[in-house]
Amino acid sequence: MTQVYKQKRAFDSLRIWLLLPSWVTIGIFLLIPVGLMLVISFMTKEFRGGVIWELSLAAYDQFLFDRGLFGDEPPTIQWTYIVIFLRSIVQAAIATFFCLLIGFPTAFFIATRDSRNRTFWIFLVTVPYWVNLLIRTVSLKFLIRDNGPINEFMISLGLISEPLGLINTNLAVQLGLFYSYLPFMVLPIYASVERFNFTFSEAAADLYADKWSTLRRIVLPIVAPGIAAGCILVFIPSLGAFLAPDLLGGAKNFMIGSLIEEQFKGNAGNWPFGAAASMILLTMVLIALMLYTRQQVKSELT
Amino acid sequence: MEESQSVAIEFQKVVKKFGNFTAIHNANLKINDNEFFTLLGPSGCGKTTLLRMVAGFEDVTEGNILLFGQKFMHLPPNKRSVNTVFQQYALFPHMTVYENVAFGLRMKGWSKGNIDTTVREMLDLVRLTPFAERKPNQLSGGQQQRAALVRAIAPKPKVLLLDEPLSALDLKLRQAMRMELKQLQKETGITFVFVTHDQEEALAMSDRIAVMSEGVIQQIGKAQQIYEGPKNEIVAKFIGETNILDASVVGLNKEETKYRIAEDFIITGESVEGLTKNQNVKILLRPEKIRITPLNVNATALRGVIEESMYLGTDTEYQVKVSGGVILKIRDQNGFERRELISLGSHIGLSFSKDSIRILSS
Repeated sequence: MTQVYKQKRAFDSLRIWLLLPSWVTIGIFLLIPVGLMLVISFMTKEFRGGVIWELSLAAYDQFLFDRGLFGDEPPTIQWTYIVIFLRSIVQAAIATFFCLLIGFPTAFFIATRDSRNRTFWIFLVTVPYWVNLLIRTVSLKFLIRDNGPINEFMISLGLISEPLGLINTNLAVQLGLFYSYLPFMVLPIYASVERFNFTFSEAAADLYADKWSTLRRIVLPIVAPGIAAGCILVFIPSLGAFLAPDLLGGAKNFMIGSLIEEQFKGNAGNWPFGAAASMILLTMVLIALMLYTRQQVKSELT
Repeated sequence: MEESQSVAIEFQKVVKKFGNFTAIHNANLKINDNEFFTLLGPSGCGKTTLLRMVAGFEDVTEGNILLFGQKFMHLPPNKRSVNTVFQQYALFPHMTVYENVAFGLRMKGWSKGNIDTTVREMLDLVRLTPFAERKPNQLSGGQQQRAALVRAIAPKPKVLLLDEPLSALDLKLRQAMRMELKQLQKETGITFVFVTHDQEEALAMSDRIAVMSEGVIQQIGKAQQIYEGPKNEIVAKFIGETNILDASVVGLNKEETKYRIAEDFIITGESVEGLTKNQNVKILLRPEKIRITPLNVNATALRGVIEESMYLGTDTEYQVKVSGGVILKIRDQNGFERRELISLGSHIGLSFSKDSIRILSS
């Protein structure tokens, strides 16, 4: 008994050492930068980028209120940034929805293949990651622009007489997000469908459930954690994405990620404002995650 | 007409192939209505495949299966009025016991009130009412078993298929569940088709048993018929323990037949039709049919030496070497007389009645 106990103790102390590298990494590269951003968001802006270390709520004020060009008019609600925020949420939600629509059948297909073939299919899903996201997004831009191959091909076939005007639209941004993050949807759903015991669907069929009811009442609820994980993994990066909206959406279809990026780029930036926008984004993400976790805990308990 | 009404399931020349492998060879079988029927055989013998074909999870390669005289092989599983109790229960983990039992009824489109009444009745039947709101993982093995059972019975199927439902339970629970299953079958009047590899289970519960081996139905009959009168060596070996002796016929008349097993090891059985002199046969002799007698009672009695003994509580099993080097297995009940174990190396006499031996012509 004591031997086992001692061994367990040894493992416990070993575990601390095993965890240390990741704790240090998280501390240095996550907590410190985020803390720094939090601090900067309450500072005063320097006009050529950077900050003046003076406490100020100006960044948050600028996000919500318009006080005129010289800041001396009575405040009115500043809709510009709120609209960008709302647009980001809608865009990310639409991208997530389409990822789910395409990703679920894909994952289901792969998970129900012969176990030898599954590795191959999963490998195919990860192939896009061999190429940098920036390059993939630029390629997508070339593909859908007015004189790109898609439009030229359809015009040459006589299907359309003018380019579709895909580029610089919300649709183009959604396409970019969908394309960038689809594997994030496929992989967790695949993992949970693979673990799904298909005796359950046999049992459902045995109890007079047709295919649709089996999917809706048995399969979906049981693989729901995988679906939720996929949605989170797509929604959160989509919300803060800046490559797709920058390259495919143009100036009209700004998203929160581009707004933040703008504030830290070159001399035109406003660090405290960018930091404040980051904090607002982070808060929203955390609230969404908290709601999700609470839902999870609740469904575990009942 | 009369017969087709009382037959619940009929297998007609059923063949099932998986690629090149033939899982079922020409199965012909009639299972009567309101019968507790068991498919018994070692794992891989095809018994579960037969069951899955009835449920609709496997198709039939050749032949046909009828349900109360009707063709139903073209129907998908959800259109067949048979239900299955799965080996690992397959209770839906995200639903409560109540919802699990109600599921089939909901899918059949029963009214809310009807569903509620039936589910409560069913839970009552197997004493699960206090656990109605629990999830399957909050139940013990036996409770899960009973939940799976009533979930399959609730929609009132014409036939209930049970795929080794007791194999995941421990011994005590398994024995208790045997009684419960048998009782449930009587109460509901539903035809039970029970699949198991456990011969004791099969003998204890079944009205009739089909013994299967390597995709072939070897014998169909009542428990006693199969135990006492196995049709071939496979059945004899699979059901219970038995001594199988090679012998040749050395003497026949109207009353009895004499067989020689070894030089001075000749035994006498009842007369059997169709035997000829010098024919080679196999003799089956159940260990519990042999009695141990004192040596000097009868000079002509068979003699032997105890080689091995195993005390098993209710009885003791001996390995006895008789003439010709033949080893016989004997089960001696530790009954009325408190008996000392017979020590190894003792010389004993053996006897058995003429009607306790069975002959398989080889």
